[in-house]
Amino acid sequence: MTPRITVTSRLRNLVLPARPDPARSRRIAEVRLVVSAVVVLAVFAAIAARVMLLATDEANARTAGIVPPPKAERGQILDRKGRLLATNLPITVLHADPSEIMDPAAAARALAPLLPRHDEGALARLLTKDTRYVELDRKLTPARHAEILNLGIPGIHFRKSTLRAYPSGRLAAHILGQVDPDNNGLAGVEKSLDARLASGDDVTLSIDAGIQAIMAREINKQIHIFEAIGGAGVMLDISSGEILALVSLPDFNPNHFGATDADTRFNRATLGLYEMGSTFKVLNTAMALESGTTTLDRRYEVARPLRIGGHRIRDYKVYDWPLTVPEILVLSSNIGSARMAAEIGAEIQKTYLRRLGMFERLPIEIPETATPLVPRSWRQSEIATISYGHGISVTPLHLASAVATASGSGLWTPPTLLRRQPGDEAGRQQPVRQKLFSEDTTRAVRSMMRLVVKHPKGTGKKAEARGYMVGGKTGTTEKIRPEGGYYKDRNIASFAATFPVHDPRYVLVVMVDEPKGQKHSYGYATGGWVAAPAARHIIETAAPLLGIHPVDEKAPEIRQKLRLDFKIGKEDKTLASF
Amino acid sequence: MRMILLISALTAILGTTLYQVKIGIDRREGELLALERDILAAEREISVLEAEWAHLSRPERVLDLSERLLEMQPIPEDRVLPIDAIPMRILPDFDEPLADVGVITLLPPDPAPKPRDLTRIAATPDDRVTLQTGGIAPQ
Repeated sequence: MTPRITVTSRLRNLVLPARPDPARSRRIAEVRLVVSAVVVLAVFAAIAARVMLLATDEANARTAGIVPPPKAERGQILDRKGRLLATNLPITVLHADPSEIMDPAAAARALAPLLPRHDEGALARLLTKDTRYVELDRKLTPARHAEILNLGIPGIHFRKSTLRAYPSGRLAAHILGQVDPDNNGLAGVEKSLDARLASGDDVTLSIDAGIQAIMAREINKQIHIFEAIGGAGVMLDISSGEILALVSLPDFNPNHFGATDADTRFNRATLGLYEMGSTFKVLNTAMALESGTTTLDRRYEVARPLRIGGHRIRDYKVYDWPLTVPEILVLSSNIGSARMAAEIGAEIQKTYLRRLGMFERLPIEIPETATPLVPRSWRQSEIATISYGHGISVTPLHLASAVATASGSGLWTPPTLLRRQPGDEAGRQQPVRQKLFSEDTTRAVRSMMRLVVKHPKGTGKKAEARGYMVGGKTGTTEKIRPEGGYYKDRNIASFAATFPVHDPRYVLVVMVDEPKGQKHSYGYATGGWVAAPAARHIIETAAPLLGIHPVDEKAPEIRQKLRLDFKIGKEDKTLASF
Repeated sequence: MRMILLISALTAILGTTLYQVKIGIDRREGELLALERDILAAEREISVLEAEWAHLSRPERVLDLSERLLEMQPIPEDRVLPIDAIPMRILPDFDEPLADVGVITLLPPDPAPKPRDLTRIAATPDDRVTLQTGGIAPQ
């Protein structure tokens, strides 16, 4: 039935198309319908599937993008009682993209009165810089923020940020340290515990802000009175090794770290090395008693200066009778101490000093620590001078830690700046403690230290805080010239105290750098005149905060904890009856 | 044909429900985000206030204020006593109308107070003063 294709049929088809075969065209139509239906259904199915996907898991991801998840803020630093020492404040950073700014001169003119940090010229220079980011101001106030926003300058942007702030100001500035603008620790606890703080953990220090402030104030007073260049102070908890206060003066406000100089930033308490002088006699006495080379009533000839290997050892006063061990400490005889040390010998002296931490950096939680300067060779002259604190340079914290051992429980406990609590040691390493001195030795040392403060001839009388049973030892040294020898007119005045001596709990070291003799001190700038009164005021003010009750020294239960029956001086008066 | 109608109706109902649930979730998520933002803002404000409080109560400032305004001094040792040094108070007889129970002293119900002469400013011995010492009755 196929039509014959001829020229005529083709021509006719051009004018009048052939009538389609109904059955065939129906088939074609059906195929077309099915194909288009499949296409339409496939498209709808794809859309439906996409809608389903968008409505489920992806939705969360998209909406969460509206508020960026808050970055963990840097952890806070708290004192032992939970008072805030370092925190973060929200700030607005004003920055500009110079490539977006159309008229830098006009923008600078408009912004200059609102930004006291830059003048117009400096602003114009900043805004024409060939960069995409210039910071114009941090710490914008909300009002300033609104004013700048109202100027409507294109290319000026705001960014929320946080600022590390130290709300207590200069308090504990040397301990806290500093961060850079990107919140990386630069010094102090901020540096040594940077990882912990950066991950958002808070850090609780062993510092008591109250005692820290009292210590800074009292040492500052002495610095002003005696026209000194600086000072330092440390208070240690004897049993736990916690540092309750650590002061280095002059101090600075860590909120304005940029404006400080190197001397101010220098931590005299942990980084400064000083010959601590006669305060070392406490350690010398404890070593001699513990190693059994002396007894409390053994006497030493001190009437004439001692000559050991080119060194001439003298006393400030001449004592023409042989001194007992307590007399050597109370009257602070260098000759007597040197003779005691000669009996101890180099090996025992070195062993004790090493165990007292005098040869190493202390393991505290700030990077600013120093390794003590000890003699290279340990000859007779070194043994002798170290006995009274010369020829060895340590930090005030080293001294505090050693005195805490010799006059406390006899255990050396590594000092720490973090709070140690009985129940809190689970995840933390237990402090390593080492028993160095017996109870008999420490009790004798404490009793003698008490006499230094209590006895009319003692050098530390000005440290007497009535009722708080202060025991201590003064120290005065001449500073070392960098080129060798000593300055005649530059002193270090120090005082190391233990209180209360009948139940030793705290050790305090006060050090004043280059005090000048004053009229009211009769020209003296010694540990007894400069550092001891500061120790007294610190103890008087801080003891009630530490829960120490004043006691009656004459009460029998107090006296039986001490040995006060030492005879000092030639008078036939025993000290039991003071 | 009926089957097709039924299925399409069911699909329509399911679709509508799904849509409603989705919209509801979106709205709640929005609320949650807003709340989280508020909490964050409040926390920030609290931390600012805490910082301000720490700044105002810094020991340096408190020491200075107490020295200038309160004239506070360290307490001398003879002013401090241990709690044992305070003598115990004498307990009253239990026959007395006022019985001492532990630390609380039981008083008989007060008679209606006399109308007080408000024009008088200074206290006179006539003014009733209730002193609760050792459970002794005010007469």
